[in-house]
Parts: sequence; C-alpha cells; structure tokens
Amino acid sequence: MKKTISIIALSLGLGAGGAFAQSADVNIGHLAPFAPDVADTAVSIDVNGSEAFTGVVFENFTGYTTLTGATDPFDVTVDVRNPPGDAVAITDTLSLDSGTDYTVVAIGNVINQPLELFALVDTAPVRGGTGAQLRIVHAAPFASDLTATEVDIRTDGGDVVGGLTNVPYKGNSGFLALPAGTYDLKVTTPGGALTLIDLAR
Amino acid sequence: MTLNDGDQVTVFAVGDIVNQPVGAIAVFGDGTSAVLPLEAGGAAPIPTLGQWGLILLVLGLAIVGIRRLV
Repeated sequence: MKKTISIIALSLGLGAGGAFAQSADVNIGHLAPFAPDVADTAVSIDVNGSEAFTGVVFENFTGYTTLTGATDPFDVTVDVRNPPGDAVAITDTLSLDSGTDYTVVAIGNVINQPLELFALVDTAPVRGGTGAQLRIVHAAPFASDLTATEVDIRTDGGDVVGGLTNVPYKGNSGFLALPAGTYDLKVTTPGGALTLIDLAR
Repeated sequence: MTLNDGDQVTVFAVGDIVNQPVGAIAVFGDGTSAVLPLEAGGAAPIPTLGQWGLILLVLGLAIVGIRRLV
C-alpha cells in the first residue's frame, strides 16, 4: 500500500514538472461507526484523486504511509468513499508539514456527528529512555450535543488521569508522560458516577 | 493496559452505541493498532429511553396535551 501511494504521488509530482523533496508519514484510521454491520462500513480512500486503499472497515488503520509533496507544507487531498469506489462520504485537504508524522482518522456517524477527517500530529517515537507517552482521544460520537459527549478518564479506583475531566467528542489529551507500568483505566461520565468504557488491566 | 519505557500509544475511545458499541483502540508508535480488551461484563450502558420508556413518555405527553385541551 505504501508503495502505491508513493508511486501515485511521484507520478503526480513529475506531471507537475518537479520532483518531490518533502514528505510526511500518515497513518489513516477508520473510526466512523456509521453502520451497524461492520462490513457495511467498508470504504476506499483516495489520495490526490487515486485510490490508495480499499476495504478499510471500522477500527482499521492503514499503517504509516509516506506522502510526498513539492513544498513545505504541502497539501494532500483525501476522499473517503462508501461503498468502496462509490460515493464520496468525506473529502478533505490535509496540509502536511514535511518530516512530521500524522494520524488521521475518519470520525462521525452521520446521526449524531458529521463524517469528517480528524488529524493528529504524532511526535517522533521515543527510543528507549524511561517512561511512556500516552495520548487519549475521544472519537466516540454517542451524542449530538457536545456537552452530552463529555467524559472523564479515570483509574479503576476513580482517580482522574492527567486532569482529563469533561473531555468532549474530539477532545485530545496530547501526549502525557507516564512512568512505565500497568494502568487500569476507564472512561466515565463527568464526575465518575457511570462507567462507559472499562478497559481490562 | 501496560506501558513500557519508550512506548508511544494513542488510545481512541470509539463507538456510538447506536451502530457500534463503545470501546477503545490503541495505536502504537509504529502505526500498528489493536482493539483493547474490556473488563468482563463490560461497561454500564449509557442510560437512554428504551421501548417502554418511550411509550410512557408519549403517553405522558398525550395526557398533558389532552388535559390542556379540556
């Protein structure tokens, strides 16, 4: 898949009369629960007008793919089609900084929240050293009113993690530096009275 | 979940209840991803009106409407 994107980008770049000097790695994910049957959530993803991925279903990620451009930043057009190869469900133009990694997720469910792309800047992975980096992102469109989507991130004992209270849909904690270890986390309603998602330890 | 030294993990809360249950997905620094297991028994459902709740709500509103008309 990575090769396909590079070839597409390369051919487009040569057609424009120049070689690409800029690049960014992008991991595209499908987190848009717009159908009850996972098979019906299948999409294809076009990059700059050419199909780069197909058969991507809810909860799938493409893995990092190198996209290239002639300028810094450079624009990449992404079209998400459902069913694959059919109607465009999401179209967006991403402005990418060269040398930067991104996670881009398709989110929304039509009923409560619109379908859209949501781009996150990934820091360079930490090699060795002590501690870990944890980022928590709210991509669950379970209500149309943003206030009604608010959640807390807590330990199983009820302690708030990273000050993450009243996090709305599309809320992004950024990377939290945490000591290595095992964490028992849960997502609750604001105040912690009701557990919405209880992660296994 | 276990975090090791040097790990970089993004956890997405996902699902909308209507079409897909809520849950969590971890995306790791190398771009791989995994659906995170939930505690046995799962989480409590977000309270919404069920079939009988909706019927009672409609009946209640109908009674209020009728009383206003009378």
